[in-house]
Amino acid sequence: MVHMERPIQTVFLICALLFVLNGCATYQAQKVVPTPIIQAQQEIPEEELLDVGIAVFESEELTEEKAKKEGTHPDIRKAERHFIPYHLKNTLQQSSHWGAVRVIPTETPEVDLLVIGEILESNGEHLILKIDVIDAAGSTWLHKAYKAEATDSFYSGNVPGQKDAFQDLYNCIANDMAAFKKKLGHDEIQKIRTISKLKFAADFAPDAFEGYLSKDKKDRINVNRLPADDDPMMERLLQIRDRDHMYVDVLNEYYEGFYNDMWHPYEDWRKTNLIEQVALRKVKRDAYLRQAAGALMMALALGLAIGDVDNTYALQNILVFGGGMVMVDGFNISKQAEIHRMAIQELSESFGSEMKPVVMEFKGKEYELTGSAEEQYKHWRELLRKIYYEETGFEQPDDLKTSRN
Amino acid sequence: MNKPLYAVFMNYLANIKRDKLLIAGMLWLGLVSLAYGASLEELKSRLELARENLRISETAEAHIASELEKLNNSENVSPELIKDYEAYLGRLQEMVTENRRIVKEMEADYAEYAPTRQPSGSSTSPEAGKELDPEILEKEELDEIASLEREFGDSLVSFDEMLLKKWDEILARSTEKMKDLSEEVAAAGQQAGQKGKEADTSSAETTAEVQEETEDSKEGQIPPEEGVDAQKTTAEGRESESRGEGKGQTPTQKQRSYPSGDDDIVARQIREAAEKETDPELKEKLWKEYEEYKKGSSQ
Repeated sequence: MVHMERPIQTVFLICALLFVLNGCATYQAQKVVPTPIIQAQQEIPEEELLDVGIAVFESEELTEEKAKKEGTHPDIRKAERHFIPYHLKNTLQQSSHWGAVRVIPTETPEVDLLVIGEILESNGEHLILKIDVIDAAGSTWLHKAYKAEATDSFYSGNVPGQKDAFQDLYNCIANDMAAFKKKLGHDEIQKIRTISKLKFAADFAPDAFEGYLSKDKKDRINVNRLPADDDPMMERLLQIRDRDHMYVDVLNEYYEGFYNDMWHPYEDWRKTNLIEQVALRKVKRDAYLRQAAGALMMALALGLAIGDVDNTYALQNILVFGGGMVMVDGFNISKQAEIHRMAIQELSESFGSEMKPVVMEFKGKEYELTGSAEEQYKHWRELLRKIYYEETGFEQPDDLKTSRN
Repeated sequence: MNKPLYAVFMNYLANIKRDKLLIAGMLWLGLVSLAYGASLEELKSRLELARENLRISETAEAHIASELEKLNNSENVSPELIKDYEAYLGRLQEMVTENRRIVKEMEADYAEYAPTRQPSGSSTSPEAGKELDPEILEKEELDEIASLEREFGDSLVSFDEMLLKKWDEILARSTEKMKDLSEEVAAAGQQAGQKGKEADTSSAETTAEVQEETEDSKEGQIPPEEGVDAQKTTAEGRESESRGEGKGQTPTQKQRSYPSGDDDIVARQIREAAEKETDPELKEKLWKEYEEYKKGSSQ
């Protein structure tokens, strides 16, 4: 039996250690402190600017149960996946360190700088985001999580597009990105810009542009050769790239509309949710304290009775009666906690259902535009291939011959 | 054994009958004229297509230029939007220039061949020979690329039109929303104003009663003109106060001197709502929000 206990203890310890390590490995969130945004001191020349694409944020699929535990709702999380990146876009634009900053529907590697975010927690009181920033050459700029906690006062003086309750967190991300960029030289910036252009070209016209880029052992991308300045195929691709930017700009107009529609109800929900969360915790703490105090008083009365201490009969009665009262009080407070919990749930469900039609309308428009663009891009890819084979005189692959004329 | 090629050919001619030669000659010439005709027709249809492309791009350019002019004349447009429109117009202008160049080249090509075209049957035209010219064949190959290029150009124009349509939809939606917002604000202001009037009326009644009592007690002491003047001054004061221009000036009035040129879309919306608002309290709040927003944006 003694021999059996040790392995059980060891297994338990290993499990506990693994649990802790696993927790650490998931994300080591940087706790955000008040952080003003660091703006560019002077205007950055156009050729030194990098365009930023922020992919619509990811979030694990929230079940009703999990959402309830987090103090949110699956529909709210869906809406936040667009809201948060759009606010980050606004913050990055405020910093004046970047070229065009756009929210993009999918992770496309053809931008100078790609921001990939994941919402780990968001309920009005806490916001935890995991952020990865990767440049076109494959270098990872950031790979970290940011954690911020709001209080009631964070919800005053906020302005759409300018200042959010968790503005410090957004500022932190923007400042980290700017600090990394500051370390780059002119050549490195030019290399990133060239690679993103060639990546776009290789994606649209792989027949014409394969071999211009290569990957090293560390998956970093290098430029093998450059197209001629007057390369007609590159000119066509740049025309398409212009359209791609225009398409994303139109998409961003939708995102902006959605962001503005969402701002006030979302702000209200977060604030009320925060108040309820704080109240819930306080009520819970009070209930525990009272229940513990009641139990302690009753235990003391029991101790006195068992110990047969003289002249304490009256005290024992008081302790038993008082302890019982305090415990009952504690249980009543627990009921209040349930009321707060219900209020949070109701609040989240109400906001979730309020946002649902807005999200659906917005998603419908997004899909419609994305669908049209994808169809057009497919056509352009085909056309460019045809032009390439006509210009070079190479024999057309079979799939191109059979495609529509 | 090794006869020259022409001798073999002459021998062949000598061996066939005259009428057969005539039929063969006619067939050959007919085929050539058909090929020439088809090529010219193709050139013509391409020219028409290029002209159509030019027309579309010119229409789009004119449309955007007029939209831009409207935006420039409108006060409530963000500089970003104007910039986007200008960039888009620039691209359209480039496209128009390119399409004009294509049309010009094609017209020149067409003019080179078309005037010499003979009615069908008279295929003895020396121009028909051009169809067999290697240069022409090469040109046809180039035409294939040009045709693809044109298809590419067309698709760019179509895509631009689609984006423009979406852009217009967004703009219309945004304008509609702004209108709704203004109406809501105006309605709220009117409601607040109504309440204010009711309060004013009851207070005015009270004041009148008090004044009456005062006048009664001080009858003959105040000349009527002065009394009127005093009332007028008070009324003016109240009116100017309700407009926010009186003594009790709030930050509202300071904001009015803010240059509106540097307003972004959000600031503009708040400013408009504040300007339209008639309820002083609500107006004050809106101006305060505007001030906070401006502070935030300048940080």
